[in-house]
Amino acid sequence: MNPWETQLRKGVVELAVLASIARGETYGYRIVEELRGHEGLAFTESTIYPVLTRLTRDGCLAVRMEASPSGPSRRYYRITPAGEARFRGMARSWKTVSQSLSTLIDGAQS
Amino acid sequence: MTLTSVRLAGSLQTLIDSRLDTIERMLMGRVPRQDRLAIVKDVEAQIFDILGEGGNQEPTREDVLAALARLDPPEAYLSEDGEIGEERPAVVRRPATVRAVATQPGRAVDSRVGKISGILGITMMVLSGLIPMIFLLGEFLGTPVLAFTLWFGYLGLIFVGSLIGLTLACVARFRGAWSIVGGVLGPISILLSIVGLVFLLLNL
Repeated sequence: MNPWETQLRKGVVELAVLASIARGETYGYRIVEELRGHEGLAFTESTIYPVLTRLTRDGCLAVRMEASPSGPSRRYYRITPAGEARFRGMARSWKTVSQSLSTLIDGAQS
Repeated sequence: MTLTSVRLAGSLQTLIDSRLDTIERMLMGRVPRQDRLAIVKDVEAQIFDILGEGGNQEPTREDVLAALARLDPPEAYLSEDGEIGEERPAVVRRPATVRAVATQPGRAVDSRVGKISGILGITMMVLSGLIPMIFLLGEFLGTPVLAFTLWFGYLGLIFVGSLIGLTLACVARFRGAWSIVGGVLGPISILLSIVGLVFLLLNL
């Protein structure tokens, strides 16, 4: 992966995680698996879990523990009102930037 | 995804614990303790989910190793390009003691290198002090070939040893008393050995 792509992915990982959790309460591994299914968003756990803890620390996510059928209890994350506000702001910015870029790119290619 | 309840033998749990401990060490000093524990907890749950996907209630050592192999290596949590690297500015908010822990692995290496540098510096300085005696000893050897071999070998040893000491002091970034000793005595010994070599060459 080239440095530009790395930087781009670093910039969107938080948005991707928030978008995943905004759909409903979920846990770390499920987020990793879900993002893996989206091209360009296949972040691994060493990227996702630190983002989850940071977002939790920032008050964007709330956590509860629940017993897992496979073994030790899982940490379930759900988005807080602060997290929703952050997500909406980020999503808005992303859409604006991506639409503007698409316009630019389409103009350059035509 | 159907998950099976997993029961692990003690030795296999130790295998998992070892990986979790390594990940925690990788995060130490850069991520607050509470966050480290949360990350490790998520990784542990993931390991058991992977084992549970296998449908084997009592996984073997191979199953556990295969599950661990599916994870990012612990070093990934150190990645400068990863999210952890992004966390670095947060260090500003952390107490100095935490920052000290953060740099401990690097400092430990610097400290060892610095110590070697200092010991080399002192040794070469002592050897430099013995140069006149070595010159006298050479005079007593009788044959000029042996004498010059002794003198050049001795001075060459000091030169090379001091140069290594000085280089190691630079590698240790002159941190700590030992590397400063190596950094100061190294150039002096180099200078003395060069003076000795020039003196010999002029008297060939």
